[in-house]
Amino acid sequence: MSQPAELELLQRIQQGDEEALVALHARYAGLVYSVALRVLNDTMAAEEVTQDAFMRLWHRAETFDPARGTFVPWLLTITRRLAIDTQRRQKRDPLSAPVLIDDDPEAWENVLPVDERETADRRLLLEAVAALPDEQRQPIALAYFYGMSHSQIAEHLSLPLGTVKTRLRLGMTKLRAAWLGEPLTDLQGGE
Amino acid sequence: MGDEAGQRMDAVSRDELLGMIPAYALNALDPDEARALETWLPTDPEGQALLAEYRALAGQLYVLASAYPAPAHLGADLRARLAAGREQRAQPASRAFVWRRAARLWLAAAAVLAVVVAALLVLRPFEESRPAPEDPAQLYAHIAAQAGAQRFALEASEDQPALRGELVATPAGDRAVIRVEQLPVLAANQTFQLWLLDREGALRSGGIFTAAGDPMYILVPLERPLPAYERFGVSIEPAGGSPYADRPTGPPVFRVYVHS
Repeated sequence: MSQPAELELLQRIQQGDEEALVALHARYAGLVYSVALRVLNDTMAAEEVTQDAFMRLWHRAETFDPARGTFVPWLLTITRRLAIDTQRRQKRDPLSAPVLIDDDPEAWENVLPVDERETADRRLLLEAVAALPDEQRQPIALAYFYGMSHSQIAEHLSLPLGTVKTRLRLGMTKLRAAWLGEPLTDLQGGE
Repeated sequence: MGDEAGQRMDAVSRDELLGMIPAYALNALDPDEARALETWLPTDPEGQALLAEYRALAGQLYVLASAYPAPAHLGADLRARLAAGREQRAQPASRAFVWRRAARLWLAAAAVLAVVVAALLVLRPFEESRPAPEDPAQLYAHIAAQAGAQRFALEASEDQPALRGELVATPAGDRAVIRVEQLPVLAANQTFQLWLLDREGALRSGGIFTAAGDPMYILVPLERPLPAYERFGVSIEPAGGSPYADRPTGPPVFRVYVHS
């Protein structure tokens, strides 16, 4: 769904149009559920977080500021915060290793709205993620899904802080280069 | 570049600051590093452009999760939550209308009657269960007074910010009662339903009930010792309860986790 369409739905939500929320839910419930399930590894808890995320959207749609970013990352930030809160309350251990990536690149295409450009970008990123060594993918996943800082990741993985910083930076550098179609320099690619 | 930023650059080189940007985009920097970066960033357009790229990348990192379609019942569940919210918003208005029109004498009489009815209903909060072996309110007081009683706070759903309460259980974990305040007002065609989730993931109904007084005491029909359960919850369901024996269809009201 394009950003203008999302903005229009968000405006309708602010006016109390329930069908606009239902439309966004139909589009993005799978994405939100997948992220919540990745954090919580519990289908029931992930369902609750999914619904809570959309109800928060219902009550606070006006807090989305298009000048600060696009809709999906904002929705997923809400989702991760709710999921992390649940995960901490339940004292669950983060799923730290290994980060398994779907072999099927079409999996996301069955969950998300069809958009040729986004699909191509996502496939590119999926390939780059799959090519990362797990030791670089893991700290990125811990930061993204669990909101961990360098220090928290180092403590969680029992690794030196410097090692974690290097691995996270290298992983992100590789993903960016692949995503933008830029070549990696030796300095960027090696640990 | 300003003097202050320049001085910080003496301590942390520009290359080092540029190297922090990927972690900053993920909110993974520790506070000191984040402050140093935030001080320097407004002075360096290249750094700002790089951050924008990394933030865009970070926005796509959901691909690190496996993709699953949302369970089909979530759509109906969302509509039920929206409907419940509508009815809750409508209830206070209609009540206010009645209050305005009622004579004070009748109000006093109604209040007395409400107390009597509430007291009677508290004695049998579960309409579909057998008569409780003990009054839940008395059982709650009895358990709460025991040394070693287990206590677990209720977690209200987002739609019930005023709701609060706790579950108390005997030290042996064989009896449990929930005390809850500020349950929402239900429509005539709705009921509350208690759910029990065990640690094997099996969900079963603990019975339906309507609110009777505030606070409300709910006897939890444990079939196994308390540690066998992961959590309990209450949802709003159509009159008669969820059409499914193993899952709610309406919005959650609160839940309570059994922490080991």
